[in-house]
Amino acid sequence: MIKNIELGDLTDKNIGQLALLNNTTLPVNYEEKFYQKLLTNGFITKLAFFNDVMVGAVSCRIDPPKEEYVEDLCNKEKYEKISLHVQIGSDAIEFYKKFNFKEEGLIKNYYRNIEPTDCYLMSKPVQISA
Amino acid sequence: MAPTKELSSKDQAAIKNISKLFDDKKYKKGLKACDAFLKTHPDNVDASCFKSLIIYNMDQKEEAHEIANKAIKSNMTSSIAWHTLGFLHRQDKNYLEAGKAFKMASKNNKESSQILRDLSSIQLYARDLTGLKESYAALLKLQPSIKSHWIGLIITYHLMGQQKAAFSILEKFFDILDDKEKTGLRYSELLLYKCMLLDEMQEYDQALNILVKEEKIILDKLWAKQKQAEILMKKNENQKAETILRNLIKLNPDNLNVHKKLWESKNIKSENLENLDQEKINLLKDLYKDLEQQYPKSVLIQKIPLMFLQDKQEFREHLVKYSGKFLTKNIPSLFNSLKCLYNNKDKVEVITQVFLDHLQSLKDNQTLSGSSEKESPSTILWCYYYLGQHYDKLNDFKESLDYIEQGIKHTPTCLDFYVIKAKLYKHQGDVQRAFEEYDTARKLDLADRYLNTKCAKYALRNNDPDTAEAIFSLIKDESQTLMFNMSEFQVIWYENELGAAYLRSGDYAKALKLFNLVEKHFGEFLEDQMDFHNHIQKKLTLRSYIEFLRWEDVVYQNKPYFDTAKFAARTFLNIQKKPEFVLPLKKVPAIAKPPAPPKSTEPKKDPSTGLTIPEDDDPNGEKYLAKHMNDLWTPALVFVDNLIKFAPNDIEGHSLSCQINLQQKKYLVILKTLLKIKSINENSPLYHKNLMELLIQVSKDTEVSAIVKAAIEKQLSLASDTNSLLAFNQSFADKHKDSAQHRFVAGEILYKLSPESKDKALELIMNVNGETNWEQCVNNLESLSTILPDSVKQYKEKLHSIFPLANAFAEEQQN
Repeated sequence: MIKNIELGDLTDKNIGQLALLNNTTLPVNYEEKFYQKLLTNGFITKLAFFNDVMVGAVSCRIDPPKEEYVEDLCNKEKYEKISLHVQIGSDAIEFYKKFNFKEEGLIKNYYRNIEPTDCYLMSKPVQISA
Repeated sequence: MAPTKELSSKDQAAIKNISKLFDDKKYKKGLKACDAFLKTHPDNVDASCFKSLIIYNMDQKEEAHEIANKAIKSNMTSSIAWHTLGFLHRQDKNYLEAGKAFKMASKNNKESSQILRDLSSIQLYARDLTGLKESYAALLKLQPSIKSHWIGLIITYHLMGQQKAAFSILEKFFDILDDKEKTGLRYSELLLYKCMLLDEMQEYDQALNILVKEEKIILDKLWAKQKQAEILMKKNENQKAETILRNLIKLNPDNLNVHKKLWESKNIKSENLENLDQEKINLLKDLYKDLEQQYPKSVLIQKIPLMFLQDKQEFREHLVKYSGKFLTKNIPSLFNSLKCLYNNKDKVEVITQVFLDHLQSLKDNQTLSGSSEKESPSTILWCYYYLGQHYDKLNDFKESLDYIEQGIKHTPTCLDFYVIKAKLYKHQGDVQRAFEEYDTARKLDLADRYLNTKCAKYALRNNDPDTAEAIFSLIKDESQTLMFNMSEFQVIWYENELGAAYLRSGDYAKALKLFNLVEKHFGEFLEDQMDFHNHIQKKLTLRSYIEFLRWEDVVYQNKPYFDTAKFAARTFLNIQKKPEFVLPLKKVPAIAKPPAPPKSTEPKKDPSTGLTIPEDDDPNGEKYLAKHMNDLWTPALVFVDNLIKFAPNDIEGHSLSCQINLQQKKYLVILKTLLKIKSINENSPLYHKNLMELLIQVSKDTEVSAIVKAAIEKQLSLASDTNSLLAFNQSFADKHKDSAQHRFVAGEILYKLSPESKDKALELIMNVNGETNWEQCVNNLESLSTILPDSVKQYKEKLHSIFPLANAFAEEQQN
């Protein structure tokens, strides 16, 4: 079996592929504005290519550090955490748990256009080497 | 140019000063100096000539010609004046006149090598080989040490087919080379050129001798070895040739040309490869088994057996293996690689089975047919991809679309599927949907130049030039207009497609504008050959030079040019016939046209001459058309004559020639063309159509001479009275009663012969059963609208029921 897995960057030229992937795999339909935002600073997106065909993507936003974070940064060990929202009842919850994400809380009526509308906030601490 | 002798030393200095100002391109100062000088010496030829050249370079072309002509009139034997006139004509690209003027200049000054050089470049361009030979002989006499003259003479004899003379001059040329020059690339090139000549002279032993003896000095080893093998085969020393060819395969196992020669060494012609007898097949089987073991990575070596194997089982086994490699590696080009096998029904049957087996096996076990190895999940994708193209080739739209849809469902981000989907719709005539699908693919990777250009082409097929321009502007030079870009970069495919869209929509002026641009490019290709001579003497690459000049001889033998010529001829005919049926352009483009580039205040300059490129004063071709309205056929015949000269077996070209000549009542020319069509395929509907149209017109034409009429009737063995023609047309319809296209032609002719038989004619026309295609039917519809405009609607509805997806026959053109 030939498996060639690569990560690529998002550009204004291939952003159509990300939109198509999201539209066919996610229940949410994002607007054009959303994708344009992904190209700006403060967002990181990676595309996953399997044998040269795009099959996955991950996008994240870097939240500005809170006050207690600033204290942490002064210590030798720097901590950050990754947070994400997952629709309740989704298979993805188990997937994230495998990677040590924990449920932090339930947010009611997070989604506007899809059912069910609630989601979990899940997060996981990440150690970034000094 | 040397100043005339009678002048005083002061005047001579003044002329020298003008010459310097001209060389330094200080035209304003130069003009002042000329005028001042001419005040005191009004008849001075030198000053007049400089003035002419200077004001030509200041964009006053007409005055420049006037002055030069006046200078000649005042002194008919002045070589300077003739030379100047020739120079002006050459700049105007009026090469015929330039050649005449240079010849006069040379006649009046036999000592000038510059004039001879200018003359020779025009003679080469015009293929005046006798004149060229004289010019080079004269040059060589004047300047025996200049190498480019030697080379000129050698090349001239070679082009004249006098290889022996060329060879003996080449030998002398070798003698004047000093030892320092007998090394390196230039010397190697000369040696190989000598071999080329010897080969053409059939002096095989001498040629081989050089190739063997000078092996170390020869640098283009690949060519030398191929030539050696070729010559050995001409000497029937095939075994020796085979050894050399197998060594060449070692260098590059995927060079098809070497393989072809290898077959030849086994007395197998490449065009017979698919129909060999068993003995030859066995021979190749052993050969390729052997080669495959030696070069397991070569794709070509694995592919060739698919071409010569005939036994279904053997073919199948080989195909399973070959296709498996492509599928496992997820290589998209598999179909292109196997496309050449589709004219063999048995093979197509096996191909269908093999790929369906692969698909089933991938679905059941995620393995390929006949293998136990697990495949990656993307392998099935390329199996769908293949089957989609496979069924399209077999013209099974439903089946092929089904596989493409399955592929898209499997992996929607794989843009190759939208490309094929677009193609499927295009083949069905749904050019609108085809464009939309292609645009989907394009939007998935906007950085892909191929997708962008090809999508522009789909937009043009969809009669949507604005959208095409919007896409094309992504890759063109933004500061210039579309027309300027196309013309500057010789984008022939775009000009052809855009012109064809205008032709379909009935905008004939714009269409001709574009086809004339293509014609202009081919003129530019011909002009290219004037630039090479000086370069060649530096590099001594005479082999490529000869090949290039021979290519120039047949430069029109080129598919895009054939397309242009056919489109152009049809445009001229439509201007005359005014078909009612047209396919209008899209009013609202799918993609907004970009804003026009800001008009630069600076006029455009030609970088090579520094002259201003004049603004196009006829951007829509209207002036051109108005100018030619009274004589459409002269420009039309330029296209058509090139077409039938360089594509002598293309029936469509001959048919267009017949129709244009029919407009001019050149009956005997048509007769000759008809006999040519008959020799190609006397069953072609185009033969019948043109034959009948000729006879109908001849029988109606009261001015045609009895001799011409008799000659035509005799040559075609057919009387031109209506009853004979009706009977002949009927027998044609009966003979080809299963072909839609033959019935259509018979119907049209029947109506022309006898309008009262309209019902019977329509019966023939409206029966569209049997093999035909939508593009042909669009042409029929156009033709019908000039003969029976009232029946267009009915015919269109009929076609719509047969080609439900084709936009051309849909009720309302969507916009």
